[in-house]
Amino acid sequence: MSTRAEPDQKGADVSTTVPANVEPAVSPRKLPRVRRRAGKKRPRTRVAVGGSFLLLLILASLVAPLPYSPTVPDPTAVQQAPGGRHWFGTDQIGLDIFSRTLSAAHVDLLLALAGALAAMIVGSALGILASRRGVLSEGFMRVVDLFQAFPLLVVILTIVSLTGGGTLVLILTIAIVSVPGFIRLVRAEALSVRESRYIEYAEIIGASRWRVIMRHILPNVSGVVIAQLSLAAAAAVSVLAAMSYLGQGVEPPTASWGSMIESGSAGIGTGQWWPVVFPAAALALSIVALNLVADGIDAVLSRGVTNDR
Amino acid sequence: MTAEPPATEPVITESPVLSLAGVDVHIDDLQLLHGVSVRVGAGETVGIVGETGSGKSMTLRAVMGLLPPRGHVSAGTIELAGEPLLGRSREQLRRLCGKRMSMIPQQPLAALNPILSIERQFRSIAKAHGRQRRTQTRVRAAELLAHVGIVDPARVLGSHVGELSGGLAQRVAIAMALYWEPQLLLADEPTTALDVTIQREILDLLATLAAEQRRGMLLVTHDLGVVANYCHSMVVMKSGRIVETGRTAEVLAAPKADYTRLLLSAGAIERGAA
Amino acid sequence: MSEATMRLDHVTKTFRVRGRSVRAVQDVSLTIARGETLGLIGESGSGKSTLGRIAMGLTAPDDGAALFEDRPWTRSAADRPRRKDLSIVFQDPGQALDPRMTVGQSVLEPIQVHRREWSRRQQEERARAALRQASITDDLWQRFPNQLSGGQQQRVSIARAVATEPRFIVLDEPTASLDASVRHELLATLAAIQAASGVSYLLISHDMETIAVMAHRVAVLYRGMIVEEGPTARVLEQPRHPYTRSLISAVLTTTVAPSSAWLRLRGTPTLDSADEGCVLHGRCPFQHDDCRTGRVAMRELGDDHRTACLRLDHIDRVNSSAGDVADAEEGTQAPTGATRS
Repeated sequence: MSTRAEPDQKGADVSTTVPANVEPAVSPRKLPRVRRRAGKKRPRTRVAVGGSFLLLLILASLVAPLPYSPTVPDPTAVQQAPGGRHWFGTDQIGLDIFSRTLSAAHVDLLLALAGALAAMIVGSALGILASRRGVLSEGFMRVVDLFQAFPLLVVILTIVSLTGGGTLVLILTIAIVSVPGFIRLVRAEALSVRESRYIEYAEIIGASRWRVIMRHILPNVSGVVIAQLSLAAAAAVSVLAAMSYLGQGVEPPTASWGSMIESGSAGIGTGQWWPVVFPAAALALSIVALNLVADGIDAVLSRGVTNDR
Repeated sequence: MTAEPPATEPVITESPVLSLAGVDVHIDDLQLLHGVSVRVGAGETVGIVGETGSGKSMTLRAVMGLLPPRGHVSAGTIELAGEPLLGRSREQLRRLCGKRMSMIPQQPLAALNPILSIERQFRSIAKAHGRQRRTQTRVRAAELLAHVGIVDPARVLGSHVGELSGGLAQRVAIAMALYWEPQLLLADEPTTALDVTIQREILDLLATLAAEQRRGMLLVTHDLGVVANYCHSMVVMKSGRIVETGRTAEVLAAPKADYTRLLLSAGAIERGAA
Repeated sequence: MSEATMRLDHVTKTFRVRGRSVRAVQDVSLTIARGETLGLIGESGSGKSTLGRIAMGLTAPDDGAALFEDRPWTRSAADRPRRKDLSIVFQDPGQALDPRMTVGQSVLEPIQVHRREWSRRQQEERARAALRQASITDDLWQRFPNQLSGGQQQRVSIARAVATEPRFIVLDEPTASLDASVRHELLATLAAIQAASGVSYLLISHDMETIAVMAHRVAVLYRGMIVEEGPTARVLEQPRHPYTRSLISAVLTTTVAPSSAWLRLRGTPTLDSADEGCVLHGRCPFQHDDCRTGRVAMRELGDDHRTACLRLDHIDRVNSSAGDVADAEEGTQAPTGATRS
């Protein structure tokens, strides 16, 4: 009577390291691994391309020597078209567009990232708290709904006009407008994580709520949170531009893409495209880069927590 | 003592309903199937058994043309009633799937669309292969539901998957698979998600349905008990290869491959000296 | 101190589902002795999982009590240290392990919760010992669950479950998602752990084979009520309750042809809870008018075997005259050293 499996079966079970490589046949469960390797889109490349573009842009903006001062106009060279001396041309008071576009990068991007980061921290905490079932968290979410129902610009303008502007206020504004997105996303993720068996297990062994949050929920929502960070920063860059356009953003003469587009837009009708197009292009490229990073992170994380090494 | 073979004996005709000959499947450089040959005659139920990763499900997917991305049949032939299936376009295969051969899902609760009523899903099956009036579809669907043992077809037609039990959902899925009277039924672990008594009812139903229209059936399972009681012949697979094949009663009575013996001893543990 | 590790005393639990009250567990009394495995069988919706949660003190019963080592569970924080004495192994190890934790972190978790006073080294030593108990090499320590096979994942679950050296473990369909060859290795490991530590198991399973190999005693649950209970060999070989007979004769094997022997019940189970009569009324082929209204009490059959059926005598008469159908073929083995080692 043989009731036990053969010894070699045991060996196969215990010592197998990466099962898919041992047996030529691949079960459906292991297929994603194969598909991953064969996938055409490379999320890591996306993160690398987007991330290094942004990093270079910010670094260049901070340390690279600019051909002209971004804040001191040259009255002798007003409204010059792009050319050998002024690569991106100059605006109506003689400011060099290239210098300004580049120097605005760190202003805009760092403000956006700082605001998004603040929103991420607050939003994650609130989102996880709101993922506990109960009247309180439902009520809280309705407040978030209400807040999100207000038009974005009205919210921004209200905050700025109440507080009077300044860098800190700009960061705060960005944080406030991005926080509901984080709350919503983190809450949704945390709700599904809370349904999982490993949370049930933690409950059974008597792990504290704090431990459940820190050891299980937070690590399992962190992926989407990071992806959302890039998206929120991308949105924040356009919020900053919009605020500058409305004259509520970064204070002149400091360059920001939004204020450059605003001041340059008057000349577009008379054929002076360069004061608008270059900062607009920088803005668009940055948003694309941030989205690439977000997209890539999301793809990397969604195809398995610790994928093929 | 071995299992009694299913009551109805199939007639093995010259041209089988399904025939796979020497089928190799690759994903990139990885070979998943090695020379797999299976014949399913009219009215015959063939069981493919094996453990996780044996290639049993991959065989079924090769027949359906549902190999994973970059997976392809690199050698061999697959024929449905004498007509080659390989080399057909996706559109041609789509026309065959559900019409001349149908798949019975492993997890009916997950396989049925949760937001559409059962009737609506019957309608899309009807539309996939022809034009039918709504009333006509409804009548046919109700007939089929009654045929698979559902007491109140009208109520089930109006309901959604969420309102059905696993056993009921599997009956509905089987009724859908029968809509265009396929010659061949393909089932991948059709009862693993179900309780034992429900499993018996569903398997009895499938056996009856296969017998009455002399349909061929290819049943993929890890459960030798299912094969012993419901399959005329069986194919044992391991690591993408067939290790043994033959009439069920003969294989079970005198297994030739070591692996078959291992599976048998593993499955018969509570029966003592098997 | 009595020998009972877990005692359920007339436990009842009712849930409200869409305005209807559904009795998940009804007047269930069970005892699991030290070092014993009680198998709990029944189909989906029979209340198995609820009963498991009640035993672990996660769900409070409406009526009756769950006593772990003679003390009932309470909601108070004072009960938290007691939780190191029990654990659970779930059905699908892929979902039971946190995908973001390495094998080491998963096994360390219960130790960190309950042995905070230990040094990091002591904690790790215990975790590695637990991995060895579960027959898994600790070179998998740094692996993540999705880098392991299903069998390995389940062994990690077992290591995690025994890490705090509990005296009671709920095995919730521990092998349902595994291949047969892996399954038997795993059951052998679980049996070895029990033999060495004297842990008690509540084994929830719909797989008769797992029950036959592992359980000393079996309780059969139908719609929240225990319809039959007794030593594994007795219940599986000579099931007396019509429901048990139907369930056991439905199992497909390679050695018998049960199609002729399957005791088929009528219709399908409903969720409506009848207040009186037999739970199987309406589905039972042997039913009688008494079954609709009569009071069904557990009836002792000797050898610790009991069942709740009003028609036992009638069924026995039918069977003896017609020649027994279901019982003859159902040979089974009690858990002995030979099969479990």
